[in-house]
Amino acid sequence: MKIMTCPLNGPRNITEFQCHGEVHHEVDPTTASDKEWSDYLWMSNNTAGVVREWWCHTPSNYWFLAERNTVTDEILATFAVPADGPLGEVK
Amino acid sequence: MAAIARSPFAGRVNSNHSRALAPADVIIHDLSPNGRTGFKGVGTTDWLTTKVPSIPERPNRATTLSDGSIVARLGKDEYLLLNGRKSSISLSAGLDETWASESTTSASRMGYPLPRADSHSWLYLEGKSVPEMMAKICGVDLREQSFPEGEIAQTIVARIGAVIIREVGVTSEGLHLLTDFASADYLWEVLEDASAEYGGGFVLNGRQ
Repeated sequence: MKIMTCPLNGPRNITEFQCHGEVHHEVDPTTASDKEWSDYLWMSNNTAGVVREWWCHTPSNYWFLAERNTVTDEILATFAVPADGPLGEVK
Repeated sequence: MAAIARSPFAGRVNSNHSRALAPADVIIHDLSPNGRTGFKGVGTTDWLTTKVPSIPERPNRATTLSDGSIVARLGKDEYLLLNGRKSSISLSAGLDETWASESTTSASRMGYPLPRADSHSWLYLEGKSVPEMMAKICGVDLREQSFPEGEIAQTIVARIGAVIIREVGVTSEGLHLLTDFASADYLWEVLEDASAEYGGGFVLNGRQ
């Protein structure tokens, strides 16, 4: 059984979680060009290596961030969403 | 905010469930007819602090009030409130009414109601074999040494989302189990099956 550590609920079976994809730098819709906006909406980096992702612990609906190696599927760290400041997209 | 349905288990319980069970068994009580409610959102903690004598210091902790009502903190600004089983006062109904009246006049943010009576069924499981039985259908270690009084687990039980609470101040080894109301029929069969080997099961009356 694969275990993931939720910042709120602690270590849990990976089946309690959903991955919601890479963290993207949020662009300002009022100033972004069409290309920047469509990149933000539709394009994924699909990085082979360490990425920062959105995850959700579904029983508590708690959203948090995780760093995962997409090659080995190893979860390196999980942490709560910062109250302010950047979410730290890994490029 | 009164519940629409009385209990999702009502159609399943019959006179066969009036049998007496030995203390060591897994005994399952349906507390769904009892009142419960919830509040969530920015400002909830500040508002609720002024309404109840004590609130849990962190998420995933529960406190029991003097009348037996339970205040369960599920998140930074999310609470579940369960009425005391022997209390003549309905904590949940009182808070729902207070919130409704204050929300029209309050200048500060006070969250929003999250009604639980029609979204979650409410069972109470007691008996020495409860942690052992739950180990078959839940990945969290619910034995008393790792899941002490006042602790809450938001997890999956038999593949459905659940809130499990070990009540403070109750000497019997019991757990509150709140799960999706619409999955109650399925949960009934799971629990009947899981508890059968311990000679336990559902009983007709709510917890005494």
